[in-house]
Amino acid sequence: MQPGDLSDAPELTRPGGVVSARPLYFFWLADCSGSMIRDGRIQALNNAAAEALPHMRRVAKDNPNVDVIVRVLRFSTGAQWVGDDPTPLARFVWPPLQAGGVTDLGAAIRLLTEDLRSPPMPKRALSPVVVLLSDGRPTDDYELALRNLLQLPWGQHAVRLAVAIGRDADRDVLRQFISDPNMAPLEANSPEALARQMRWVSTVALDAASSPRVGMVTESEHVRNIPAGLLSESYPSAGPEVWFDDEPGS
Amino acid sequence: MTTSPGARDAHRWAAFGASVRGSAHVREALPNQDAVGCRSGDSGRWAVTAVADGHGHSLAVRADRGAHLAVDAALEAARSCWEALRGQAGGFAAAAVAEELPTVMATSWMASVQRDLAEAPLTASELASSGNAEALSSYPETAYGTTLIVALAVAGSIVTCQIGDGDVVAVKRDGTVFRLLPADTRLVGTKTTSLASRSALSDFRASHVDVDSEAIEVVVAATDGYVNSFSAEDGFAAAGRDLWRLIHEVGASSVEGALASWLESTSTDGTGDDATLAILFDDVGLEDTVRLPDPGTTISDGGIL
Repeated sequence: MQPGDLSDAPELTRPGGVVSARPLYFFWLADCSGSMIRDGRIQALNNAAAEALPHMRRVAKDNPNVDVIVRVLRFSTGAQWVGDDPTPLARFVWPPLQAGGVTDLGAAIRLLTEDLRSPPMPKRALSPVVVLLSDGRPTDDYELALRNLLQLPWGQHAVRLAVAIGRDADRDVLRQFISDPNMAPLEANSPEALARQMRWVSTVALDAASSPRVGMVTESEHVRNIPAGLLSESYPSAGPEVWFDDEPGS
Repeated sequence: MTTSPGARDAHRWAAFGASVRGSAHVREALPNQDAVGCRSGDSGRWAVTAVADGHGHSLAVRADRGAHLAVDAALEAARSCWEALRGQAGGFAAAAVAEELPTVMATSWMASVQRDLAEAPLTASELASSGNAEALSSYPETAYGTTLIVALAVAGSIVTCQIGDGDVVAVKRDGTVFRLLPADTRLVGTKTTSLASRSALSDFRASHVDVDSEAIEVVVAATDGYVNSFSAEDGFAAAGRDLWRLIHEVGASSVEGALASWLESTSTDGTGDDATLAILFDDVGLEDTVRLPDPGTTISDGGIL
């Protein structure tokens, strides 16, 4: 057969190998220290997460070219991944977390850092979303761990958000964790507020991170992952209610 | 190199490409913000192709225009290079072109953008939709932000330049694939360097390669909407080899005819982003190939660095 003669040619096969949606890793970093037992905070967290899941799935369904993968990392005395592997959102079930121990945030950030190396992070992934939920102040050296995290490209460019549970959460620490220096921690002073904030990060932040509108460089500096306007417009207020006590975190 | 009249050309370059709007752009009512262009001359003594991907960021309110201006600037700069160098003794100075071409293209693009802004300043609506009118007003060129990949073949040399994401590979006569440019480790997730950046000149990557010593037959360049659609990290390299094989088997015109539909289905099943791909190929080299390698030919990730 001469080049260009398709008379006896089979249908041309699409070039390249397997094609799939881009992965977007969504990490929950959950404070499971002893203070989370007070006023049923850990139960409120479990309930809020379970409640947020359908909303998260709805957003993911609206972004069929994004494959959302979820991991939960609990930290108290030390830190552990909950479950062995990252789980596709469609199969993800929030694990009921138990509280007890101290607040080893540094250990959690170190574990996260290992997961944000490439590999295992695929190069074609979208910027991951990392949500830190905490009601206290760290009991280990979180600063070194955070510096190491921010040395990684994926650590630097992750959408890093934080939810302050109760009034005693160390907001300075949470501010250091957040990727946008103009953004404050999300306030959750009641079970309702916690549910609202978790629903927000599960939907608005996920949707923004999934959008083709995200990301460019200006003046050789990387701009924030989520356009500032979107965050400020969507940012839910803390609300007036205060159900959680002012007890110091563990 | 000068070919005497009647002598058989050692290389005869040609190029084609296609660009499609991504399904995510359709959902979000965004236009196709990619652009592609090809040009050749002097009976195939030279050919150039360029692909550009206007940024999806909200500040880049004229990204589609910026991408088209980038492709225009690249094609014109390549033609100018050829015109300037064709009569010089010593042949095509690929190394000098690789060094100069980014500056010529970036300067030309910026001038085009500034002319465009002078003729049509950013509107109140565009500033409002950017989400940060103050930032955009202070540096309106950001509205046109785009990436750019250019592959220029002249006789026995290929010059490649790139700023931002996307990818470009070469396929050799034996079917091996290699990257023409070094990786830019700053390009993570959806982050990219930009022609609109004040650091654009230093953000360019450029290389030149000798076609004969490397036995190059085909160069394939694509925007990230296509490159990132493949599950495997070497998916785009595999696509480059497949395209090379298809050109051998069914001819370039048939591949060109099918290209847009391949881009569309790849993007729809993958990133959902605009997808653009261009192929630069040596028609003489392809004619001379008498036997294709086995399907299992290894893809190398070496590069000329």
